[in-house]
Amino acid sequence: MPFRSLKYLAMMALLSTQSYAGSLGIEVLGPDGQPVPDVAIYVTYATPGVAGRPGTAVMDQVDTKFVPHILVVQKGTAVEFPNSDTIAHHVYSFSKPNNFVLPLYKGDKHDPVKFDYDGIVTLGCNIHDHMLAYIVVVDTPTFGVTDEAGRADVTVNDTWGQATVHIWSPRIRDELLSRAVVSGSSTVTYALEKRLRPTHDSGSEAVQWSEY
Amino acid sequence: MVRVLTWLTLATLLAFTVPAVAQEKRHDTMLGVDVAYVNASGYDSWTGGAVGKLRYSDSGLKLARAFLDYEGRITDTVQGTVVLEAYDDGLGTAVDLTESYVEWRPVPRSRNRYRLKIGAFYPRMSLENVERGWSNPYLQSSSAINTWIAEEVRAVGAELSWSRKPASLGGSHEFSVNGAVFWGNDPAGTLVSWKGWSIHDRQTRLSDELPLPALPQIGPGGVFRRQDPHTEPIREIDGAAGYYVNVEWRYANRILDASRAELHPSRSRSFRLR
Repeated sequence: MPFRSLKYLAMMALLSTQSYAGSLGIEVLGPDGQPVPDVAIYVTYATPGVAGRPGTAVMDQVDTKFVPHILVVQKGTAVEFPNSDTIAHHVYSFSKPNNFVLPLYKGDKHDPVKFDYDGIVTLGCNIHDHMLAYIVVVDTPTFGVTDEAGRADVTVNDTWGQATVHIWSPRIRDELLSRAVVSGSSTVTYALEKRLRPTHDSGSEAVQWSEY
Repeated sequence: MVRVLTWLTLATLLAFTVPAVAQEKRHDTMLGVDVAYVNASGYDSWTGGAVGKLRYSDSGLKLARAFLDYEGRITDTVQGTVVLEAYDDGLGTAVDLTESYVEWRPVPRSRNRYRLKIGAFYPRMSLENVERGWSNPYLQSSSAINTWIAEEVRAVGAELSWSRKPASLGGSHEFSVNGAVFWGNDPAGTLVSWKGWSIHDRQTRLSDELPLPALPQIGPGGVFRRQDPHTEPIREIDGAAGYYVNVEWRYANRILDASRAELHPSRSRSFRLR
């Protein structure tokens, strides 16, 4: 046992002398202590204009729902909008300056939409009023979305200076959601204080009369 | 009054969609056939001019309904809908329209959303009959209130809807206002006044003629001697437009709704029994 403790101590010493780099777990808990899934997570750095190569991402439409409900992408990412349903959709966003309209379509017939400005992009379908999703466009290559356990793991690059975690969800009413990452810490936990807004699908399909 | 009612549905809504031929699905047709085994006991049905609340007087296998619901896309934001219902009860032609309208849904440019409907349609008031062909996905028969709407309520005119999700209150809140100016529904309320509420699945078509119960008060010699023995619910009588307005606040699955409708706005205070 003494030997094992010694090893542990040595490891701790090693970690604390090195500056932090690598995996950071972010956990979001509601006021009831329950994990909050589908929260957008992103990490900004002290160095402005950090490098990164925006790639492509997909926002699909399945069973008259957007999949995923929350998509986080880096500024400049081209997002594809395939339609996996057998019926047509008419996707739009009025979130300026990222607003756009994809004329009515089925399948995979549109060019991807490039999001050149950071901010929240609210998506809707003009045919199916209950369809709702968000694209969170961030100006950093470090981002994620919390899973069912309310957790997201990201890789933080410490060569870009002080890192700060931010979270966003349409359900969250708390303010001051930015946390500086303390060097050496492996987890940032958000314990939200304000009651969450209901989830988008908590209104049952029975109350979706806008389409009949 | 009504002693026993047993509905045994053998086959409910054998609905199928005709597959799209075009690459872009501009036309969408749904055919529905509803065959039901009915075991009814009680007074004879109102559909035969009696006072019974049910649709059938006897038991047996019935072709409850056959419908065709066609949706055609005129442009990306304009859609036409035509719904035909077929019945074999002789209360009108075998096949007739229940709804026929054009709807314009402009793409929202802000949090305000607008919809404009023109034609003959059900007012926007049902959470129950939400499927195509104004079908009820939950039960064979509609609730008493929706059965009445199917019997006697239809707007022939224009309905404008405005809804908004105020960001300041969180996106879960939604306010809507629906208003319509309509013609062609003057006798609404006649049938329910004479026979009371019913529970069934028949929808009145635009030119249906429904019998009133054969009561001694109706017609020559009765107190209501000028009352016809039948009603045509979707008929215009005085040429004046009616209106309805409906205000709604919705939060998640909670709805607060207030509506007002008038069929004869200029006469509503001067109704007198003669």
